[in-house]
Amino acid sequence: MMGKDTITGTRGSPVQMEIRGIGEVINYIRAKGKDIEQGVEVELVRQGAFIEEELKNSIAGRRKEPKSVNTGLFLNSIRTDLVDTKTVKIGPLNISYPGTGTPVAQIASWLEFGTTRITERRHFRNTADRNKKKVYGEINKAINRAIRGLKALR
Amino acid sequence: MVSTTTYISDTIKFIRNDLLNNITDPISTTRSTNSKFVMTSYPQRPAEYPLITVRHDGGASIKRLGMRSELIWMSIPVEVRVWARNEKEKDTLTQQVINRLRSNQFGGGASTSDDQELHDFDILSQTPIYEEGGEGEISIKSMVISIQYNFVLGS
Repeated sequence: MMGKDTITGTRGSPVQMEIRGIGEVINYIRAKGKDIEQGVEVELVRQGAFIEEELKNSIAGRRKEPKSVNTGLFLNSIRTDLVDTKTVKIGPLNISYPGTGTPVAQIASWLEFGTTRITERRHFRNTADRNKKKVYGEINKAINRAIRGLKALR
Repeated sequence: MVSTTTYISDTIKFIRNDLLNNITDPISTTRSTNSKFVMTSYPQRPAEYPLITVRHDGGASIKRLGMRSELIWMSIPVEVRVWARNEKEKDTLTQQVINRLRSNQFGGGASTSDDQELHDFDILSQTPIYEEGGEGEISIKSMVISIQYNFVLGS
């Protein structure tokens, strides 16, 4: 009885198969994977910057939400950080208001969700909802461009 | 059952009534008659804390259920917010709300979310908000619980 991994020819003798170029294929896949990763990373940063801009426009009152500018510290503290190759974080810097010492992030959460005294101003959530489809679309395009071997940045 | 024509109000009212009937009001004996423990909007009427607000949270996502189909698989995001007088009360009520919503999905009863055609219950986030109280005021602690159900719009 023949083993499971042995192919028998029509005349009963085992057929031998030789696969060449495995090393080249692995190298090609690795290079392509790196291309895709780099392409997506570049697009991710670009989309992060776009969302940062949109968020600042929302805080400045140029979108549907009410304006949330008093000293300008909250507006100017919004930054985009690349956490890893697949994640960007957009939010206020870890700084506090001079005088009161209240962290900017604390003020941001009060404005975003409202309190017993003020109504909410959904800067973060509305910006995300408005631009979610566009951002997903652009990142998908970047992945497809990288897969096709095109440059991610034009 | 949640209806296509009134899916937002039906969903909100279902959650409001379910929480109202199944979460114990810590100040039920002293709460005044014109104040409610669970409400569908931010308090317009006199607010006596603790209280729970239930609102539609916007930002729904949809998927078409096939070519040339007008049926839509739609997410219904809901914000349940617990407003409490202290940390312990906030945490206790939040746990009770989550556990009630979690354990009321299936079972065939007319009061379950599945029976209301609200499927795939999901907790998207729980965000604590710490408010500073003025002098002599209670500083209200709140927890914003973002949940989501899916619903077939048009069925």
